[in-house]
Amino acid sequence: MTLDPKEAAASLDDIDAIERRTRETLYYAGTSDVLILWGVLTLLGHLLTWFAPRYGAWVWPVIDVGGFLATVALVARRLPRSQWRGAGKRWVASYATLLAFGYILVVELSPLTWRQLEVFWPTVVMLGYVLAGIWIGRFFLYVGIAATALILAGYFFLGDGFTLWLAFVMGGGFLAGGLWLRRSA
Amino acid sequence: MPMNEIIHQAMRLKIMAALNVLTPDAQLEFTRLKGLVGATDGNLGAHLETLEKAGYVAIEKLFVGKRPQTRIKATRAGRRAFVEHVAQLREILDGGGDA
Repeated sequence: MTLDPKEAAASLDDIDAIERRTRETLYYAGTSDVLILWGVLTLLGHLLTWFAPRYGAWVWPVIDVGGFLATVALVARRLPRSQWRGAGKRWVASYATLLAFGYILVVELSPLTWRQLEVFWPTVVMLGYVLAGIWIGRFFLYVGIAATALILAGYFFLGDGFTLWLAFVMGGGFLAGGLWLRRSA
Repeated sequence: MPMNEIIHQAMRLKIMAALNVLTPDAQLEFTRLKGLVGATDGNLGAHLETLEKAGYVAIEKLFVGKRPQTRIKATRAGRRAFVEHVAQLREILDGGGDA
C-alpha cells in the first residue's frame, strides 16, 4: 500500500477528530451530574443571599465546601478507579488550585464590597470553564464565555437585582447545561 | 515497514482511534461507538469482527437487566498497532518515507 503525504494528513485529521469527539463524549457524560449539582447549589445560594441577606456570610462557605466535597464524591463514583487515579485527581487538583488562587486574591485585595465578591467568584469559576473548554470540549468554552459576558453585563448595568441575575445566570445556566449534557452524552 | 492494512481502513482507523482514548481497562458501549464513528449497526459489526480476528479489540456481550449490551475495548496488541500506524502516518507527512 502506498500513501502520499496528503492522504497521511487526511488520516491524521480523521484520527484527531474522532479522539476529540470521544473525549468530549466521555467528559460530557461524566460532568452532567456535577453541573446539575452546582446549578441547584448556586441557585439556592443566590436566592438565600437575596431573600435573607443576613445569612449571606455563612451560606457561601457552606455551599462552597459542601459542593466541593460532593463534586469529589460524584467524580470518584462515576469514574472507573483507573481514571480516577489519573485524570480525575488532576481535575480536582486543578479546581482546588483555582479556588485557592481566588481565595488568596480576595484576601490580598480586601476589603471588597459584597457586590465585588459576587462578581469575582463566578468569573473565577468561569475562567476554569474556559480553560477546561480549550482542553476537552467546546461546550465548556462556550458556557464559560457566555456566562462571563452575562455576569459582567449584570455587574455593570443592573442595580440591586444583580444577585437575582446571578441566580438566573449561574444557577439556571448550570442546570440547563447539565440537563443538556445528560441528554446529549 | 509496510502499512497495516487492517488498521488503515478508514472506519477501522476511526474505531481504533476512539478506543485508544480510553484507559486500558475501559470499554465503550456499541451504541456509543456507533455514534462516535458514524457507522451503521451492520457496518460497525463487520469491522469489529475483522479487528477482533486480528486480536486488536476484545468484545464482551452481556445483559444489563433484560437488555443485551455489547462492550468493546482495545487490546494491548491493538493499541500498539494503532500507535505504530499513527507514527508511520506522521513519518510520511514529515517526508521521512512512504509505504
